[in-house]
Amino acid sequence: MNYPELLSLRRSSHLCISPSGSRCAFLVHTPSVAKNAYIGCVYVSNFAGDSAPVGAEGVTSLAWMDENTLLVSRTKCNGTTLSKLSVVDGTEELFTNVPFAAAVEGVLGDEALLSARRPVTKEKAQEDGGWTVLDEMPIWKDGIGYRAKIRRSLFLCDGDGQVRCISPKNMDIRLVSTDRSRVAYAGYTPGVLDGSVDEIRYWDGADHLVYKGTDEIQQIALGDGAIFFAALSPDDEAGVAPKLMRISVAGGTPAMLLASELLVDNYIVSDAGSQGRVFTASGDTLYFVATEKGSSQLYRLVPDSEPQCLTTAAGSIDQFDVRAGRVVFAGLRGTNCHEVYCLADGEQQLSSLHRDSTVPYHSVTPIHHQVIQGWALRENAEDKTRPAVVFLHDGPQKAFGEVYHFGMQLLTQHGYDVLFANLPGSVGYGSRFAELGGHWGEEDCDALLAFLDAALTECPEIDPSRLAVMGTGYGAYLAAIAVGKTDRFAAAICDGVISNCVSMEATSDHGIAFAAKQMKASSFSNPEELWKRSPLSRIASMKTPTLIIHGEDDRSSHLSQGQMLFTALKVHGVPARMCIFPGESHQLASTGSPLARDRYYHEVLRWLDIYL
Amino acid sequence: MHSEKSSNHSLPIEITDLLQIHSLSSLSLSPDGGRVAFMEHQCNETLDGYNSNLWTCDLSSGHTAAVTADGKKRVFCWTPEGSLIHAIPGEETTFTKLDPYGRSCPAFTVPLRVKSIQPVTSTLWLIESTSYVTEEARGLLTEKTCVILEELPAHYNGVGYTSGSRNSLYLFDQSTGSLRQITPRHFETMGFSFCPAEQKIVCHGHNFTSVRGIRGCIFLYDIPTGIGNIVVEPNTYRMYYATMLGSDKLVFAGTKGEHDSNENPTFYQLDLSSGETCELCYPDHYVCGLGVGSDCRYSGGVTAMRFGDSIYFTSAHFDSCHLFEVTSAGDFRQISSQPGSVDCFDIKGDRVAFIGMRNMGMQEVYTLDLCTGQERRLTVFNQAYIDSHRVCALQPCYFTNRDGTTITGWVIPPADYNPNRRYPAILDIHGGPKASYGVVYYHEMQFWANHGYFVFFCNPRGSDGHGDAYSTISGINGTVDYDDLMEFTDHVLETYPQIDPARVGVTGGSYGGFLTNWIVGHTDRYAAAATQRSIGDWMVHYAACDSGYWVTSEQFPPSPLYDTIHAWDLSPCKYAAQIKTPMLFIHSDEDRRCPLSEMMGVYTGAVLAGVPVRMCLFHGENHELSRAGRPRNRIQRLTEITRWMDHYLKGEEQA
Repeated sequence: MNYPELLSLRRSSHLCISPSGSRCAFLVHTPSVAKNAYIGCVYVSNFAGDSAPVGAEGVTSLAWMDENTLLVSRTKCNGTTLSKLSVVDGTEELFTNVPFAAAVEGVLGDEALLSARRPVTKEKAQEDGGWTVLDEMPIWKDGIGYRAKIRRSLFLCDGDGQVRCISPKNMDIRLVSTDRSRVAYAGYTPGVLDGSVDEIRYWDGADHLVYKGTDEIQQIALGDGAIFFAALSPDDEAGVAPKLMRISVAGGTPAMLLASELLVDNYIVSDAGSQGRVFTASGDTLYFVATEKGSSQLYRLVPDSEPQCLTTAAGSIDQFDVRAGRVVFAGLRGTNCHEVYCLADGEQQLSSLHRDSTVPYHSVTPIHHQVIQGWALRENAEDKTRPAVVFLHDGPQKAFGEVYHFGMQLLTQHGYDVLFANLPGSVGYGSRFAELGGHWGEEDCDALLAFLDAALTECPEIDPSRLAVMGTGYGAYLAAIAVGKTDRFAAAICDGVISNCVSMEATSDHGIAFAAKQMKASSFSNPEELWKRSPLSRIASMKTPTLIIHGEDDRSSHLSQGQMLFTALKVHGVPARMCIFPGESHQLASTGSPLARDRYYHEVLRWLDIYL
Repeated sequence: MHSEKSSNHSLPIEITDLLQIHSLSSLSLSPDGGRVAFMEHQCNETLDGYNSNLWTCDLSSGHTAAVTADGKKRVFCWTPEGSLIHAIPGEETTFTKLDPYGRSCPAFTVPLRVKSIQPVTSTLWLIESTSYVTEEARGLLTEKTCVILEELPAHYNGVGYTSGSRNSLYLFDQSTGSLRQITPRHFETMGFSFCPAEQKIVCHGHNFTSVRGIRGCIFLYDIPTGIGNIVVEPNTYRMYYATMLGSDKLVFAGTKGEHDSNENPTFYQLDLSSGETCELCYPDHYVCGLGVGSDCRYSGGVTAMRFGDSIYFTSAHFDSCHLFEVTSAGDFRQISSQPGSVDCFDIKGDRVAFIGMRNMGMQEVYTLDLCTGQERRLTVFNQAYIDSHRVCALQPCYFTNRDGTTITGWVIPPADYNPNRRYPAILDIHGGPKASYGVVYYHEMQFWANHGYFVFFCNPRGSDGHGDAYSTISGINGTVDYDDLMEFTDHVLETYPQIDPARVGVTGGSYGGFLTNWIVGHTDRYAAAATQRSIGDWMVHYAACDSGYWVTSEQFPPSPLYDTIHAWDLSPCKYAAQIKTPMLFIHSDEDRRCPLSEMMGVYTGAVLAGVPVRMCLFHGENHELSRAGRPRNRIQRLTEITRWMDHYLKGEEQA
């Protein structure tokens, strides 16, 4: 390891409160060099003192069975082992084995509620890895792989290993919300073409259709007798706040609870965060996370009133749970890495996952330029000149915030100021600001250069001849556009770049939506519009030495996108280096394997050191 | 050798008969010309791989015997004394010597993974192996976490990532154990010729540090002095073959790409003392090309060599792949006359030994007398199969196209053909584009003909074997070749009214897949299509294909990046949303020649067009799936295509 501090970066998931509210449990994922993976271990807190690990490692999901017992899953070579873990003494008892990879979603009575991606045709079930038959679009999903005729279904499994599917055979389940006897879930039934989540169902011993419409359902939460959901209309642009709805479990017409500018979900970018449940109901009260102005906060919506923001500090909340009067959440607060908190009399930290950590920390300076909210990470040494890196986020409908970001901190530790801003296309500043459809590479790039000018004024220590630009996904796209428009950057780093928007439509797992929503075009009707927005169309003016990093299994920006930029730069005599990470997806920089992330930053710093 | 006792051509040809095919390769004559050694390959169903064994055959007695039996692929060569040395290549390669009396003993170990070996003296060996431009490059290419690429081409089909690696030549002294790389550190050896009389090694290839060009250079190494020099500078000729023909005379086959990137080479003569190059001969034949296609070959062999004062080479010529000679005086003549294919050969004295396909059979070893032209078959690896199975005859179906060019094409009527019935038919399109069909055994065609299909196929313009004017296609892809295929289909349907025009399918691989994609975007006359390892988007081909940046740069000069409208107009993707034909896509996920990414636009367009679509994506296979893939996958590939055709052309249920 070049950067062993990566190994102290831990994060939690599956945060949930016990049925009577005496405890909460969560999974902590710890990087392991030996296994080159993240090892999951259950932690339990009784809301007094520090949380503590319970039971053996290797847990992949969990749910409460009773006040003292968790049902936990572990992956086995041919399936999943479910065990009952006593949080009192840490002992484990086999519940049952399931002959496929499954995740625990909850416990209903004495049965486990599982979700699993399973083949829905006999032919698909017989495939053994020699080949894959694909007859749907998209053919793959980033981080998952090939996907035709495979659906995520819900199962009930008893202690004897009897498994029965409770969701419709062809439906792909995306959202699940459950209490101890009922399940609400949402998904869609794909045809040859991918669709959006448009159907809500309810199971209380029997399966019921609750809602099927044209809206795209983004979140659901099961309350008393009703299901809450957040939905977008089909013609809503990316980055628009969803409407909040409530529908009786018996069906009928959904009622609009709120049509506000509250952007439900956590969109704050960090490579130290996690992403979990951000939409939960308790009785007839809805709780949710929403993103605004560089932070995500927890909100409560009581019927017939305005939403109330429960948190105030800057930062991000990426998962929470509410039960029995308790509110717990996890996220990035202040200068902390990912930790778990309880909301009672302010924010009380329940975990200390980074007590002994050696991760770098430098403070943030706000840099606001007109409507652009931005920041600089700098070392407090103003006497010497320093090189700087402009860091761009993916999306574009995401946002930076004042939260811990390991990659940026590492760059600052190695002598680089890091500049980052929420450029047009970012969320949290209203839907008009977030809308970039049909304008990629225009006002976002102009704003990038204007922000850079402002930052150079604000940070006189930065040497304007030693600037780099780097980003992931859309951020890499914008970096590549920028070096096609200007030579002011001495180096560029593109991770999971989009270089050719024409072929993006057919190769990306969200290519058709990308073309329609983000490009307002289609390669089959107006490819010239897509080409005009492609970084490669500016190849003749690209002079900036560029490091191209790509996960070999990136299905969001397919590897061929990186190959095209690399080939074009090499043919044009521009210094270029391509780093392909086998087995890694589009999420390489944030959730890639420990060795891959270590190597990633080694390559980044090597490139910056050469050219800056 | 075979279980079939029947020799009355009664057994139907089945998909699984792929398992029975014996393929031969790497033929080499002993120094006295009395014996020939070669590799024989056959599918191993149990291991889902191939058994490869080394064989020898005595040319006078015809006695054929296996030297090895473990089924492992070997490199081998004859020693000057007439022994045979052979080895299984590994991180280091240990050779065993088999003397003329049949006794085996350990020979020597070369600290390299040997790709090929030949003797310079009885103790000095010329070795071909992979090197790395720096030790760091070796590390960067072979580590697990991350592969670093800094060169173009960055990868190669069937090999993987190649940036920083080179195909290099070494001299290995068996008595001292010394090993010396003789090609320059950055030189990628594409071909070489050891010239014993002149004591020189002639290599053609590319000396590059960042981006390999298409037009190479010649590196000449003098063995006695140990000095090597670049004698033909890069960037003028695309090189195909080079050798010495006399102490001061270097002859090479090269093209200047004046009218097509794939034009047939001219033989040039370089006078080493004066440094002057002059044209020796322009036979208008391809050298080291693909010959005539068949799915019954596995691995290759020598297709061009110098012998005496001549260069001999195989080349496609109308319906066959023949052996040709160019003399040092510039005279050109055709050596072989029998139809079929000379696949690889060797010459000693006035005798040629070759692996070839004759009389609609599969590969066997033959001799050819250079004086009389008489051919003699020596082996019977596939004879029992051919004798016992229902091999259907090819009917020539040549026609003159609208431009007045005679196009070579054939029809295979179905087995038990009844002229009073109506049949479905399949149009098969070859890759390349500079490749060709001819009168040889082709398993998939024979299988379909045995199962009720007319099979028809031709050499549309762009194909090899018909001269430069015929094969010119770069930058006009999908125009004249498409027209020829449409006219050929018209002609076949006219000639054989027994074919139901509503039940004609089309399939092709690689460039044939490009044409299949192109066809379905432009006509709905075919009732089903199976497009294999296909090209869909020239812009993606530019970057994702292992040779894409120069292929497409010659198609769309100076680069498709500057000629995007033209590149898109010629890409099947552009027309894919108009497809009306049910589409089966056959692809392999390690195909680096035509990667999946460049075909995805056609798949997506077909899905959006709403036609039935199915892709069978093979894992761990590359561009060679249909010829050298794992047996189980080859069987599945042909099963998929056949089921698709059966469903849409015969109305059969899909399993």
